[in-house]
Amino acid sequence: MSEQLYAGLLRLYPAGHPRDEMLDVLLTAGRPVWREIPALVLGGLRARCGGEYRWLYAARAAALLLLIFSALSSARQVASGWLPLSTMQILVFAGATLAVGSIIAGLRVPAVLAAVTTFVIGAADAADWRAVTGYSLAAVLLLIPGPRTPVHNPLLPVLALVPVDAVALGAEPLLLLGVLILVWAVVDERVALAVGLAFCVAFLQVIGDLTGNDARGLFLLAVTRLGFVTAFLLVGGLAAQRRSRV
Amino acid sequence: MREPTYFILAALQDEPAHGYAIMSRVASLSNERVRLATGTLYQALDRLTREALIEVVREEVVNGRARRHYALTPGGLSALQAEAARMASAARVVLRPLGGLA
Repeated sequence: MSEQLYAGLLRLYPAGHPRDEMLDVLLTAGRPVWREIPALVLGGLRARCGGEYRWLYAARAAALLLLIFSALSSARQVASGWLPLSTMQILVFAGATLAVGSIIAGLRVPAVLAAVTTFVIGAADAADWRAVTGYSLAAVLLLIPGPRTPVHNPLLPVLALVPVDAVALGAEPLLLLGVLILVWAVVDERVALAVGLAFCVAFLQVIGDLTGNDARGLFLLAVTRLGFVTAFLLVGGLAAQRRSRV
Repeated sequence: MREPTYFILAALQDEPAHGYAIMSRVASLSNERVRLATGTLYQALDRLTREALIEVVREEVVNGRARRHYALTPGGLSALQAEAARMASAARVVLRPLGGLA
């Protein structure tokens, strides 16, 4: 019975992991099943997610979030008729798509070139939304040098969809999603770090959009947004620090 | 260095061992204080192999299942000895001979 249960749980681990050997240890040790299961599940999920280059991966994942979000926001404005579907706009979409594909594949130089192109075309095309151009620039800055680090996580593109229509989703589901991301830091803290970095860029962009002496607006932003930025970066950072210890 | 890591490295200081032997030695060396779950042990072995503190030195098949033997690398031995010296130095501050208190 426990052999079947353990064999099933060991499927959580990626191929190439010593599943056979682990099953042997589990059966030889003969400990209570409830004592083995939590560490077995956590270990399997962590092994699936991988955990190398935590901050580097998070920075690239944040760039991915910003590029997808900016392209989707532009597309939404085009669809609603606020922006014309100009040749420049099509080039912005193409650049963002290329940059996203390159980040996922771990191709940093093509990703930087595509993100720079997206930013330059977006900035030249004055009709574009300010934040979109700002996000492309932030994405370029986040694609910092380092070893090849593909960003394979199906969760990230889904997360990038959330802020496109955050108001329609409502506060409670958003809060729940935020809590889930923070809890997921036990398995993979890089998602929380990526969301924190992307939030940080969004926060700076909104501050940039405030009028000169709008102290009330700044206070409200600090209270409502800074808490989220801090929570994601703090939880993600602490989890990353803990996991980097031998 | 985390306590489980310290005892895993200590379990390998005399000779290579396979997963279950490491688990048993860790429990014994720590007076049953550190009792690793299998998932925790293999997360640690994976991390220590990546950090080049331990390495797989032999593989065999027992009861139809693969079994790998792990050993300390020179880097792992240095890290273990450095940690032991650090803890001994810290312990001396508290556990000094009574005459030293005057």
